[in-house]
Amino acid sequence: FSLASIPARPSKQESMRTARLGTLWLGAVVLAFAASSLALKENDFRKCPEASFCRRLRREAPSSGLYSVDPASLTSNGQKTEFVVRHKSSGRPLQASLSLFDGSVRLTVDEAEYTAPHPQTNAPEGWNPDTDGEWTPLPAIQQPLRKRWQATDALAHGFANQVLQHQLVKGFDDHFKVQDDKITITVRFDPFEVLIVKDSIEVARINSRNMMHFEPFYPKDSGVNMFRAEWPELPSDNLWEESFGSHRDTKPFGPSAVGIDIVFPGAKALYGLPERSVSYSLPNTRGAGLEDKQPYRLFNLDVFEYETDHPHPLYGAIPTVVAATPTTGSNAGAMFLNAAEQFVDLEDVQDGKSVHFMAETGVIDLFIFTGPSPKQVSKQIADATGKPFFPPLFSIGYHQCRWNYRDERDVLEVDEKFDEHDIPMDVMWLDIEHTDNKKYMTWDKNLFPDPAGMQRKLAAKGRRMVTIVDPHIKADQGFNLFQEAQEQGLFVRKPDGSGTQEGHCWPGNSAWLDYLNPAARQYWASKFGTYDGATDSLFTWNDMNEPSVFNGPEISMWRDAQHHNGVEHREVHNMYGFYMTEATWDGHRMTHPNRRPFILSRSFFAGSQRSVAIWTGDNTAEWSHLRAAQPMILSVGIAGLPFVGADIGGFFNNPEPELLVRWYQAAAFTPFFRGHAHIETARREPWLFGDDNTRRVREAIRRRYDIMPYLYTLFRIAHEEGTPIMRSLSYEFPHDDSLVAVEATFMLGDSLLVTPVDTPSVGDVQVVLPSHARWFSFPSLKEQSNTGLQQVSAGIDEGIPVFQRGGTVVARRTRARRNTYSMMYDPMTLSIAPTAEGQAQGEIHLDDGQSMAYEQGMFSRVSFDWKDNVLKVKRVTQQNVYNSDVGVERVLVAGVLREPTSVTLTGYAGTEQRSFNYNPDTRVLEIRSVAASLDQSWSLEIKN
Amino acid sequence: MPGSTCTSALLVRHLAVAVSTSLLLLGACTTAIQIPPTFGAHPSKMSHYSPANGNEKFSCLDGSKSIPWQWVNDDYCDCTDGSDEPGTSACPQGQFHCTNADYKSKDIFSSRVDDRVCDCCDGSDESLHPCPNTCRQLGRMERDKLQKAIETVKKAVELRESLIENAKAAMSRAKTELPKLKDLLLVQEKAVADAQEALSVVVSQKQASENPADAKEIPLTQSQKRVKEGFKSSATEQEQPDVPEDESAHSTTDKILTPTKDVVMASPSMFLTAFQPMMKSVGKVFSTFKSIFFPTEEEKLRSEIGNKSRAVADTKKSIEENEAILEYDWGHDSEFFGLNKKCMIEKFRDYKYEVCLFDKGSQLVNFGVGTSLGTFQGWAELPTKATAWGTTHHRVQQFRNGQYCPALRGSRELDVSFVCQDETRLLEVIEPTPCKYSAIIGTPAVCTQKLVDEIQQEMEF
Repeated sequence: FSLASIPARPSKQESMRTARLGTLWLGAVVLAFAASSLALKENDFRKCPEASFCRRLRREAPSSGLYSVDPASLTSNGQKTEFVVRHKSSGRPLQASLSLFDGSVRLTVDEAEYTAPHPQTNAPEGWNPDTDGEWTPLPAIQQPLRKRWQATDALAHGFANQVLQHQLVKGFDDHFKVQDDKITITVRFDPFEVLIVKDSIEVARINSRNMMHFEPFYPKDSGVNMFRAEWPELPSDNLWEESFGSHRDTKPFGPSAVGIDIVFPGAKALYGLPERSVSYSLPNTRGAGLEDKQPYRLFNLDVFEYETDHPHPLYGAIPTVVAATPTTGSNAGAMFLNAAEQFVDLEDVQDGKSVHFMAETGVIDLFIFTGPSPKQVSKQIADATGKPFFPPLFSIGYHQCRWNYRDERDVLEVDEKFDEHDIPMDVMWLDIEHTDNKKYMTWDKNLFPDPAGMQRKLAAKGRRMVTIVDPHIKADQGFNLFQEAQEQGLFVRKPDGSGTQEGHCWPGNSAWLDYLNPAARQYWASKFGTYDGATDSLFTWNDMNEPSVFNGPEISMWRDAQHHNGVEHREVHNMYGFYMTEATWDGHRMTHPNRRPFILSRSFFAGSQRSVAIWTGDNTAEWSHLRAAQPMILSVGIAGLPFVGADIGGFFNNPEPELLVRWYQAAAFTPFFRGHAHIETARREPWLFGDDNTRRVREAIRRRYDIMPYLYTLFRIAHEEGTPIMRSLSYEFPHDDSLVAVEATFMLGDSLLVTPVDTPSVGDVQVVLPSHARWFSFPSLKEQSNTGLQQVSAGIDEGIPVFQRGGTVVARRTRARRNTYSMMYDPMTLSIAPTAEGQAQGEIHLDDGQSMAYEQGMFSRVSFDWKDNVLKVKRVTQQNVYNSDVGVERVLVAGVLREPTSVTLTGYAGTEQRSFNYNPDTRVLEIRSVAASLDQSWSLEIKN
Repeated sequence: MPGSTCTSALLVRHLAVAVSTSLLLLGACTTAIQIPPTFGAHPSKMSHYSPANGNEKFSCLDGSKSIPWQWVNDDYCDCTDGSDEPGTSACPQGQFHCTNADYKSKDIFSSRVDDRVCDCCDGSDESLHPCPNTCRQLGRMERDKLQKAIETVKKAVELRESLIENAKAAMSRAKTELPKLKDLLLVQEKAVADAQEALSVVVSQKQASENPADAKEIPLTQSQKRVKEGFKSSATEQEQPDVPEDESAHSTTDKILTPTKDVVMASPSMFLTAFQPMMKSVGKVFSTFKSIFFPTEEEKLRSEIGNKSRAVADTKKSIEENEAILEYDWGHDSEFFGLNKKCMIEKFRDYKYEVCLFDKGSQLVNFGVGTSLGTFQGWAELPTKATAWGTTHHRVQQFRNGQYCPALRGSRELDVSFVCQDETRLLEVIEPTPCKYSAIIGTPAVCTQKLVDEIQQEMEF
């Protein structure tokens, strides 16, 4: 939840004070006035015109290039080719490098080490002594004045070692080349431009629009004049000081913005750049008719009651964009690895799409992911920024959360009710009220006298618990965490470095751990080992980690606050939450070395997929927010973070029962599946809306558990390949240009096509069924004979339509269980949907669902291959390393034209007949009691 | 499990198929488990599961299908109603019956069978996961608990009896009082009428002797009018003691009126005097004193009418009270009669709550006024529910129109439910949904012999 309503609305404040939280809100009372206008309004958050760097960088593309390559500077060691790029008018050198990885290209540009007299000896053209003052000679250029902070911690551990050998080809008049057997990079000298070609296809052009921009650090005393001398065409206001609202940013190091443009030739759509609530296919921000549009902003913020279909940035940022080119069926991507505030313009250019990244500070560290397939782009992103963590099985079950379950009894009653209504549930959550006065990793001992006992009661039924642990530390000398961190100097410091920067958050006066500091991360991690009342079944929720600071600029940290080694907050802002969750991950790993961590975070950055699931923050109980969830989840997924979900029902306000039911039906097919609600909403556990709605929600949640083996395998594949769990149709069918903007229908993995119902009072819904594939209604397996846009029945009792794609085998578990633990050894049902040629494939991953033993190969992989009326089940991994003790009980085959005469099971020891039922209307064959182990290889043959 | 060459028993359970054939896919070290068709079936339906009846096939209980006997409890779901798998988890709609000898038998969802969680105390729901039989121990504990409960409830039943007796006594008193009061009222009303008659005679005589024209048309100011109306209403209507003091200008006037009401009734003109500073001349003040110490005949009569009207009002009030005693819903046996306006204050966590039965509920804070959770609205019938203090009574007191709650966009509400206890006390107040409170009160008023019988019945296992 966000700063949420408490200080935001005086009326709510009143109700809180009188009826609920009592004295806890003294701090909030102070805030009430300042925060009274927090509901998202245009003016509460910075946009390009309010950010001086964006005013400078967002301009018309210069007709001639500002930078050129110094050919004499070229050097290469075969892994890195380095060269100097000069700002042509000032002669200032920048150090650039190019390197090649498997399918990706990295270009970096930073200030070169350089000392020289300033070339500008006379006043620049247009200098007016009357208005601009007397021209004074400029001091010598010395650079860098300050080391630029780099966001490289976001990169996968050991990524640098994955660099490939390349060849530098010199000797041309106007360019050089860097190449390996697949990729050729052509670098033009003047103006500086980089062209990337893979397998003879032009993938991307860098700086072809001459938008590259790099402001060196200037000495403060003569900086304005130096700046104006070098950038006469740019506005020079607010270089060393800037305000937004009532907040003044001291900007002690002055301007240091960087920017660059990328063109994707042939691209029809751009995706990614989360997090915000806009359509999946990102609308352009520049071009004819778009003069009023704002560039997309990447800046992690706690936005109270965010609006849908609005380009403002939300809690997390991944500076990664993916371009789709249906004509070749290819995808490519770009990541501008920089943790400072960014603005990004998207624009149509003559032959494709242009992306213009602009950052307030930092370096140019640009990755181009060359694809060409969507999955290859995902793999290249995962290679660069890390594989998504492999979650424990329970975490892909259903999560029940509320701000707040009052006390132990409340928790256990809700737990019991799920059983009473036979609704599966894996995890109970506790929000901030469970703590002793918002001191995290403590318990309110009146409400939770025996937290470990409570967790054990849940664990006895195979359920887990998650508690919230936020980064703001109550500034209370009696709180050991505060006292220790204060003593060790582990907090973010004031702009002048003089002491801990305090601010307001849930506990009142608070300090923020400086997770940038390795000592702070280590300290934080160690706290999970001494977390009183925590058991093996307790996991973590990191909220408010943008960070949210109630009295800070834009409800966040002061940009000039100081981190470890004098780094300014502005340089690292978008990675604050990332560093926090890295430290939490370490804490989990240290405390439970053989347990897979599960951490939910609200803030994230490139690389966060290595340690967290995220949710889309504080949404609202409105149909528009249900609708907005899909593009948001798809956008985060395509940018490399697959484990994403939206709060079911909407965090703020009370959903009508129909909305709640439809939300459960949709969310059951999204990666992270959690119900959550604001403290001021009515209780909304599934059984509170009458028997009909209870049944509908039960069915919705059961559909989730039904496909659990398939879903778990998707998470495993995501862990290996970076592939999103939830995918757009354009991801699975990249050649079909009619699908580039489709988001109302999506794919869950490569086999299931899902269309949520996101409007009230409807009995059917429009489903997009891509042509060139066969589609079978799931799980009935009745064939849908027409493709394209189809009106499909989707009554509230039927649930939302799901289709299985021809050519796939989906593993299901049809037994209704209370959670993933309970279904661990249940036999599976294989759902076979053949292509027109009568073929289908699939696979599953099996392991213990919770330990790290999979890293030692303790898992099994089983492949399913259907061809010529024979199902071959093959254990792919070595025999007897890991035995799942799981069998297959049922095989369903779609599109069987005639009733078979016999079905024969063949194992290593012989053959047996199996009984079956054939339905001539649906043409579905059900082979019953297959009773064959998935720890063995076997086949099933259908004879006509 | 790593390296194991034998497939575990659990797998065998799920592979327990076609029991006549060999399990060719399993290692030689396993044997199939055959589950009898009756396993897990409810005792009342046992006959359906017996092939001995000469049925060649098993009929699904919903009649939808017939299947071979070996398909019953073969861990594969064939009947849509789940009836072919009473003893396995194969059917999502099924039920499993735990016998739980020495304790209460129980029907559980099939989803609980073989799910690695012990649901039946006899362990019968888990064939492979270790579940110790705890039925005997549970049975003993339950018996002890129920025995104690019976003793408490029995004692409380006696208390309830005395509550009922007290109520009955009060009612019979009311029944006898009522006709008497009604007679008295007639007499008192007659007396008032007589005195008014006498007064009108005196006044008309006086008017005739003085100057009648002047007295008739003294124009009244706004505040005089109000006072006059106030006077009228307090003379003709029942007084309402529970009207909040800060209600309106009208009641503010009432408040000012109250201390001198007798005098006012005796002499409206004098009252007007006291209320009109403009008219507060020395002469008038003098005449006020004069009228108190040396009343004229007229003034004496007015005073008498006032006193007698008050007596009428008092009697009316008593009649209403007695009628309320007789007509009001004090519970089936009037067992709640003794709890009328009974107030209880308890602190739960950070808040103190006060509940006054048949009256009001509030949340008290340390500083400033408390928050009203509502005033008594009436009884409602709600399904009984199990709580930590026992099962709630089916009737609930509802308190509505409490202080406005922005989160709810409406007023706060309180529901008070009752559980059997040997004394009346506030056990719990929670706020499950913002501004919707629910309280539990323990009281002997809901302790009946039926409850004793029910507990007795519960002990029969």
